[in-house]
Amino acid sequence: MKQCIACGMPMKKIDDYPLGDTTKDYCKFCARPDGSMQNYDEKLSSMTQFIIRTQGLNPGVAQKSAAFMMSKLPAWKSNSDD
Amino acid sequence: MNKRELQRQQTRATILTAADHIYAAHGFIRPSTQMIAKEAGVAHGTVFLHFQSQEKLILAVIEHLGMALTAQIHEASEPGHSLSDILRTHLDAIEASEALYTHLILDLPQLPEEAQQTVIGIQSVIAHHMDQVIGQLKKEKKIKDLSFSFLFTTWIGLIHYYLMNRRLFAPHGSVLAFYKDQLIANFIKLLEVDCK
Ligand SMILES: [Zn+2]
Repeated sequence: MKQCIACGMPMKKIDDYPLGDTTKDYCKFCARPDGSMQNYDEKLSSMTQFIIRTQGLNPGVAQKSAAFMMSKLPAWKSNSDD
Repeated sequence: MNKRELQRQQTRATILTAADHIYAAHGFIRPSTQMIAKEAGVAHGTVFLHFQSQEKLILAVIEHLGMALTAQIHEASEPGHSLSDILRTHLDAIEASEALYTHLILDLPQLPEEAQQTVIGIQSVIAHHMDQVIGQLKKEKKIKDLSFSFLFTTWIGLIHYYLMNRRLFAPHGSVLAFYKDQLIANFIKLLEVDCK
């Protein structure tokens, strides 16, 4: 089973892949409508919005947390500060 | 991998496991690195060879806990799971590291920012799975029309209240082992729309 390189979610079924393309290393939540992978700023923004909507956090705190989570994932490791 | 590298990784894992035990028993603030070195059976300096500072060691233990919890939640979550299945998955994962998780929550205000962010990361994973089911239940008008974040913080607040006050609820054992079923059942009852 593959794990999304951009958000860490395991991809267990075809439906988890962008447009059902199992050759991809990222999941449908990290894809643009055309199936290509979101870039750093797009993913940071969507993850921040997700944290605000689901956990109700302050936007600044949510964005910092999203950036921290992304720094641990293979797709974004080079974007992290450390 | 050569023998030396293998040995280095084994020592690192031994220190991490020892730190895990010590922090689970005493919290993150009080234990010294000497205590952890003793528990791991290594020289005090060896701890710093692998983790540079006490803060880095604490964050490594917390990161490890975060990865274990999120992996377990992802692993146990299947499409078609009910809300009750997902809440149980969440509590099962916490229960597997209940003492360490409880100290993390209790000590959070005194720990570096990264500790807080790791907790938000764990919560994002459970929120992701809950969100899928809650959205569907809302569409079917089976649960009350409350914002997801209110519902989610109510759940987290409830769990954390029990964990942080475990001396009041389960002084001699696991709070979750004892209260898991009733917490899940009552939380769902709170959300359900009355069918008359
Ligand atoms: Zn993804």
